[in-house]
Amino acid sequence: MGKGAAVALRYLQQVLSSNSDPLILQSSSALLAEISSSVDSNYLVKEKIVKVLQLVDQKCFQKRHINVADIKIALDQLQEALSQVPEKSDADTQQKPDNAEKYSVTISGNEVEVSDNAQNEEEENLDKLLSTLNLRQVPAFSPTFPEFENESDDDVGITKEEKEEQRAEKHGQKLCEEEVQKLPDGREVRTKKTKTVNVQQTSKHITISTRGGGCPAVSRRFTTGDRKVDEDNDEEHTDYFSLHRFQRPDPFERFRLKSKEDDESCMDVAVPGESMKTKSIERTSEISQFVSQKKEKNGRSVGENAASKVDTSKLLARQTESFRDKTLVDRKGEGTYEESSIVKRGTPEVGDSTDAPRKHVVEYIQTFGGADDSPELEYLRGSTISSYITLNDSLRFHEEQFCKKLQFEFSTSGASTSFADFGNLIELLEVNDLGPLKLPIKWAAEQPDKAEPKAIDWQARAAITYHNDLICNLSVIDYLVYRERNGNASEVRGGPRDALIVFATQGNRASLIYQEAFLVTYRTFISSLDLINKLVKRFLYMSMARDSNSQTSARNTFSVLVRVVDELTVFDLDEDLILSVTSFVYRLIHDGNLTFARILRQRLLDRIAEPFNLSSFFETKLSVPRRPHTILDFRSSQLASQLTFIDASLFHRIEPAELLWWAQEQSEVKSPNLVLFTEHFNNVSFWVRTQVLMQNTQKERERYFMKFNKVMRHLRKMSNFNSYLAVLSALASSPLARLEWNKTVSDSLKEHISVMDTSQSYKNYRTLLQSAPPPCVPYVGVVLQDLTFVHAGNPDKLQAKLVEGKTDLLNFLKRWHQYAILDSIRKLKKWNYDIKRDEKVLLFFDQFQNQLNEEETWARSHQIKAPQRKK
Amino acid sequence: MSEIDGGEHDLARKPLAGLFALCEVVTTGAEAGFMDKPLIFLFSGNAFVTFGFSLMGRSKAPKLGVAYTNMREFKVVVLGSGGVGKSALTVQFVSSTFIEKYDPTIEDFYRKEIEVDGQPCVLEILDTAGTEQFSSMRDLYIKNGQGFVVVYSITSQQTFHDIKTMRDQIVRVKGSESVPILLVGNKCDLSHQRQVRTDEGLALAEYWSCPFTECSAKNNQNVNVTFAEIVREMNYVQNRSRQSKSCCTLM
Repeated sequence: MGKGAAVALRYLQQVLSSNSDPLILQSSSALLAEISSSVDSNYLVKEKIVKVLQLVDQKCFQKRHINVADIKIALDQLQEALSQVPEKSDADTQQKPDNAEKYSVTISGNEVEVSDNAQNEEEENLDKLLSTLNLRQVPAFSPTFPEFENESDDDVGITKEEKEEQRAEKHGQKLCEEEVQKLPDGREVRTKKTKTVNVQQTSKHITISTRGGGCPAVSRRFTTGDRKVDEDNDEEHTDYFSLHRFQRPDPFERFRLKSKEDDESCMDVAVPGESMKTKSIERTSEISQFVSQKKEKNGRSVGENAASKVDTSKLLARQTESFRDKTLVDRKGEGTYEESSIVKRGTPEVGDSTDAPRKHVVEYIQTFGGADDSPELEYLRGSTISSYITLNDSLRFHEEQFCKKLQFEFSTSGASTSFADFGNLIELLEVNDLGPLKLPIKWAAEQPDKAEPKAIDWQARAAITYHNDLICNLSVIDYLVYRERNGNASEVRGGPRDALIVFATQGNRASLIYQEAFLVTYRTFISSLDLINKLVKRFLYMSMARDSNSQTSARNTFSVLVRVVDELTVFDLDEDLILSVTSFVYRLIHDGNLTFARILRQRLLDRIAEPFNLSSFFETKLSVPRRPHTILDFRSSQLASQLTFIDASLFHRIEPAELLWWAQEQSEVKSPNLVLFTEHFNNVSFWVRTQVLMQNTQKERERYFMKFNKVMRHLRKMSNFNSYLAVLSALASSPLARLEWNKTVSDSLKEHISVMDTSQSYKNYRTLLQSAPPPCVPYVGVVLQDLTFVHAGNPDKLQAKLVEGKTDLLNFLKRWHQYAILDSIRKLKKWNYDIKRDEKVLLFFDQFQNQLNEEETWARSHQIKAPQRKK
Repeated sequence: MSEIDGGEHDLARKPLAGLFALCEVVTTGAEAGFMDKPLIFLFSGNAFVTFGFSLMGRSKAPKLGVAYTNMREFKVVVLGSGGVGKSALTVQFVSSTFIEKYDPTIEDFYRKEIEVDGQPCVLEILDTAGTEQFSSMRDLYIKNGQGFVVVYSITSQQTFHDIKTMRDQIVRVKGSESVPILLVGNKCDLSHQRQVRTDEGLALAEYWSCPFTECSAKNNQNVNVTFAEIVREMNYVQNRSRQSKSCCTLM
């Protein structure tokens, strides 16, 4: 039994008594992961692991009463089964982080020298992947600053403008290579090398231009820089990345180059036999850039602007190759890649570092299966998607560099990642709808709408048979309706439901943007459970065939399935769905596909969220101060930050599906996080009204009013339109507005009130939102209104008269619109603020419980100023 | 219909009401062909007419020629609980039958030009369907509106109950008793699921002294009539307040 598996098993045994469901689920997942990676499972092992998972799932997912003793028995049986299988020829040698490159070669205890020229041709695949992923040059950061106010441009004063640009790059890499050769005589040769490289570079440009004072304009420019390369091994040993230190002026060049192909492979020296090579790589890089601008006039500062940007990336990858007599028989690999960039405006605060706890929402997208059908390129590959356009075009600039996380796995032969061109959603929506449609070549039989979807026990299901079912078709492109452009089929406009599903799995035919739109909007025409069952059916059907097209299709289907599971909401995750997915996991194990089983189960676990409780979110350890605080005790920026902290936390919990559902059904059960968010909005609004109205003198009320006005300004600056509008709706509400205010107070609202002008479909607000720098919390009301009207205004099905009288073809244009709106939300959800919780302020907010309701605010308002009604 | 017909006093409010009432019989007669009940009611002398009323398609406000620059513009707010079909009503009104896609994010989506009693005008509809939960925003919307279409669904007693305090809210925010309001019972195509009787709607309208109609956004019954009527109501309220003002100055 593998060591890892043994540890995982023991751990699960211990955890069982803790009775903590999440812990048990996670440890069972870890066990599955260990077994899938280190054990050559036989039938008995598979059966026993399924038994364990079944019991665990029943206990923790379905909350059935399961005796822990039963799980323990099952675990013991699994342990026994495991002890009878040989472990995979594993490569678990001690991997101590080594600073220096090390060669330790052992042939059955005898030291032997092995050539250090370990570079060999096949490795290019990993390197190629690395170069695509990691070695992007970060472009120079050039933020646009607002113009300094230009006072009279006289010639008398001396104007000095200073621009400073700083750039610092830090790259680190650790490469670990290990080779195990099994010689025909049974001996083993092990080679291990570790190498780390660190590179640092800083550069600084300062431009100072002076003009005025009767002198001609003068411009001076300074440049300084520093480079540092730190390698822990000698030049002649560093052939992995073809370093030519003294010939290349750019020390980063080595990271951007593909490997050199000058090798006598170590395989050449090796004796025929079996060998295995493991290569792992860890690479981090951080590039921080800072730009500032200063303007002085006559020695007096006129203005100052600054912005900074930090790009970081981290790559972890591992590749294992097996050779038989120099021929590559198998290659497997996996890894993760993360990239993030943070743009900040304003001078960075002292001590502000990138490792501050940040909660960036990271989206990762997995695609299994290559787009290419050629058999030699059969691998699982990772891919990200950044297809956001629409509403907030200004986000794109930031977006491209923001958070990306990639997980990839590959096998058999090579890997590469392509960042496909996603097409343009805006263009897609702007096209004239009256343009001609390209009708299907084949018409599918009408499908009766089935009754309530039910769970399917995939483990018990026999082989999938083909029932003239679109789901089992290799390709459905002939069944879809497209828009016709220049005589060719352009984007999908509609089609039978099952064809739209299958098309999403045809990674080679459908654009990634279609897949995204499908994943965001499928709930408008099929339930998640139904969709999962259909995808599983397709996967199983395609897996039965051995031809490469079917195999590719199965993998593509699986990757869509993973995405669906990845984005399930709490409402989706009912007992039926969990039953379908878990039984499919068991089936995958039985079929020997432990990798897929592990991935899918892990994804499902990740979706089981801990229940969210607003009260405990607000809970603070502080006790109420003897003299209760008032808002005047806090700085406006502090109040705005904490409002934003709460808003952002709640906003990030909202799933796009909740918004989509809300626009159609307004069901609080389906959209719980959205309901929390809107309730919070109203709470803030009424709390603010109460704060102002409850002051006893007009002067105090005006002080409070102006205080909130300041808070509002800060909120706007922070692009928090949620609380901004909540406060605005309070200050502009009738119970407050009808009171008599001095001119400063009433004028102070003017600039804000136009933001909520509803004319021209919230033109003012939309314009403001577009120009707001992210992170941002939008006013969700406008999103809901847009979705509601898209739903009300666009038919679900294509009009029969356009499609030869067919009445069951779905109108995908409607989904494109929904996608466009929801995508802007997904895009905004990828950003988050870097705000720390301030217990004092949260305690003061007291969950905004201290509020008058609508009637009470009116009563209080009338108490302050008696009503005078016009007839 | 006689029991709800306004008295002489009401007829005096609108000099032409009698004439309208005559025309109305003709038009509703035609429409009543596919309904179980005529959907237009006379109340307080305010009659609905389809006569003299035409649709001019979706307005392209910025591109309008000189002829339209003096056109009167009204802000109409559509109010009511979620799920009563407000958005369908608005969509039905603002859209023309030739366009297949409705994109609410475009600037003139909620604008529509209509001609009421021979006078063209532009309606800017404010329908916040989908955002009913943001109750704290309602004040702002009401403040901006000039006319109010209050909608409930005849298939849900709850939605009828929800709007009962709506007039008070509007009056309170506007600070005036004379606010143009129209009460609308939607979804009258689903008469087999009816929960709110027509006379209940009428009674509430009488209490509010405002006109009332039942319509079906789904089948496009009475939709345009509804919006024409709120224009009339706005005209009427405006004229009356002007008159009373001029009366005051004379005195």
